[in-house]
Amino acid sequence: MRRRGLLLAAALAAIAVLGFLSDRVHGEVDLTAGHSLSLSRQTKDVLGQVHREVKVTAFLLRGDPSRAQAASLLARYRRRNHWIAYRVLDPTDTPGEAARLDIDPTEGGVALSSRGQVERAPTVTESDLTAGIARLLRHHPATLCIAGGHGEPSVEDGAGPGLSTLAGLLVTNGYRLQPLDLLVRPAVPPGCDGLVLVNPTAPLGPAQSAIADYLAGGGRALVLNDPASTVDLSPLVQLYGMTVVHGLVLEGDDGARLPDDPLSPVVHDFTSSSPVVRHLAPVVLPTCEAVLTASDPGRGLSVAPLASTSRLSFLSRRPRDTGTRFDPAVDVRGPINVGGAADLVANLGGHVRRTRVVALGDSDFATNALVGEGGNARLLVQALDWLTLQEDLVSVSTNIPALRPLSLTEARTRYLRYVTAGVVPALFLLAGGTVWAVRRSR
Amino acid sequence: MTRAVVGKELRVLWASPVPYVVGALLQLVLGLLYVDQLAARRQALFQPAVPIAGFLLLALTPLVCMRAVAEEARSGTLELLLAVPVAGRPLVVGKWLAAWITVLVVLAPVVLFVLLLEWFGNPDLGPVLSGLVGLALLAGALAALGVLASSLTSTQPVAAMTAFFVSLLLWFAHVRAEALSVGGVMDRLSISERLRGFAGGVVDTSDVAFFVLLAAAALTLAAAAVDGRRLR
Repeated sequence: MRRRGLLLAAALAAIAVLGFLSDRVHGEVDLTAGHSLSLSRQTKDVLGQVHREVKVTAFLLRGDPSRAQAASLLARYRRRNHWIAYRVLDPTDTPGEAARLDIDPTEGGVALSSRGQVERAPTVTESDLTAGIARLLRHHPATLCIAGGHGEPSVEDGAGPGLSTLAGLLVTNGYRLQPLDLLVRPAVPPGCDGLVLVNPTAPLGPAQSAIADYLAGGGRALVLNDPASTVDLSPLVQLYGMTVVHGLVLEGDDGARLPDDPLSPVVHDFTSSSPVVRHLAPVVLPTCEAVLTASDPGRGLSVAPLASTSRLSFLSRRPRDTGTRFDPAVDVRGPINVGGAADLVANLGGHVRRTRVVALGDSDFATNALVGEGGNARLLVQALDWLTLQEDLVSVSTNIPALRPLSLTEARTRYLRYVTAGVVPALFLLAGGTVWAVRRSR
Repeated sequence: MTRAVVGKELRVLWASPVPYVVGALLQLVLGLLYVDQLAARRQALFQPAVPIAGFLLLALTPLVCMRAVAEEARSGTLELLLAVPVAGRPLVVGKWLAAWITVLVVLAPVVLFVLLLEWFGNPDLGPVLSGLVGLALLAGALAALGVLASSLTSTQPVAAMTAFFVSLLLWFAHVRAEALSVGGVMDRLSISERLRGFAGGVVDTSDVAFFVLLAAAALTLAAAAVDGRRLR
């Protein structure tokens, strides 16, 4: 009797140990088409660095169709690393918790917290979650200096041409913003991890050399040009293999512009390998100009074109004279490159200095009126993440599952109900009745 | 020995009204709820069927298993069986296999959903396959829990209720677990959480091992309970 008890205890202990081991050492097979449920390599790398509890609180309305997918995604994070704890709350049920975590209950979002530090993300997607966790793992947020003083739009301006929405987006993505008045004090402080220069409309004067010095010393800058401005920003970016070509891009392809608006290209050609444009939705760039990139930029410098308009587009060099007509004498045929990313690496006796510049031929897309369109916001965030060397935050390559629409009319729904909830149960009952009748007849 | 037990159990089970009624109930409720989900989502997804079918299995599998050992004990045939040198393990495994096969047959018409999805849309067959594997593993584990409950009592309704409540506890193990500071452990014990990966299209070896080991633990305990009766 005692031996049996010991054997039973040993068998149960062996099962428990096997269960424990199978949880620690396990593999998985993603059977979905396109492996849409596999976490990306970047996410696995970031999760591999998590050695303390990270609490993820997702606020999604109970009726939100993405709620189940969000829970499933969070479960995969937890499965990968048990330090990740998560919960999915309805913000209308928990307004206090949403307020505590500074999440707008009407819009929802995600809060990621660890050791008193809280990061926020707008959506429960792999790219936002992984970026949020990566930010939590950092010791201090990157500081972005926003250049001002020469007619640039303001980050405090909530009107259409302002940048307040962009500012909010950057804060949500873990950046600290520091406005600079380069007219009053033409110098970029050393604490700036990146400089954002958006469409100055007055000549930069001494600020131009201050920015050039900052970049020469290993600075990072996002430079947004605009055809509406007469200020030439080419001198700032030419050292880094890029040239701003003034003019106006006119898009002739109906599928690559806003409806009936040749001045508003919708760029979806991101053939570049740069992480700045990886997995980016189409970007709306109204009234933009060209940014050329050097094919042979020189030692230590690599320059990547970021995005191009369609073959049916062209760069009008004198739009005031020719209107929307192509002038073969001066205009440039499409595709027109509208952005570039430069990376200059210098070895200073064992110390590596790295300068990065992203230049785009438009600034309107970053304003309050347009930053929410298509992939505009994501382009800006990815550009700044890349500039400030937060590469693990850039464009986590999520495999998006394909939509599989079901052609379901009212009649077909009725038919489905009839077959699945009517015919099949009836067949079971019929079989049972037949067996009962046969047995009774014997 | 096990094969003989399986054959005898299957004959007895399918001569009773239980599998037919269980099958009709499962397919009726599953059909209604799943088609509602399809109509709401308008996507050719098998995924919503998995948790619904899983919960229905949780409620209905104990009805299939309740008589496995309890009926033998009540009618006195268990004592006869134990009088001959038959170990508890093959007896219990045979009864579990018969119950598992029965539940799988009752569940089998869900394949019809896949055919209908193929007809009206273009479903991803990977998650369909993993969902079916998950449901089959869940059915095996629930059947083992049912046989265990049946081996502990000679009253069928008590066996069914016991199996149902234990399964229910395991289904909701993750709920409120965080508040009790045991979130990590309870999440791993939650069969609904384990089923979630299968439903989505991911087959994780730890989830497969969980269901297999849960069944193994339940059957080990059931065999010990049957052997314990012999010693009494």
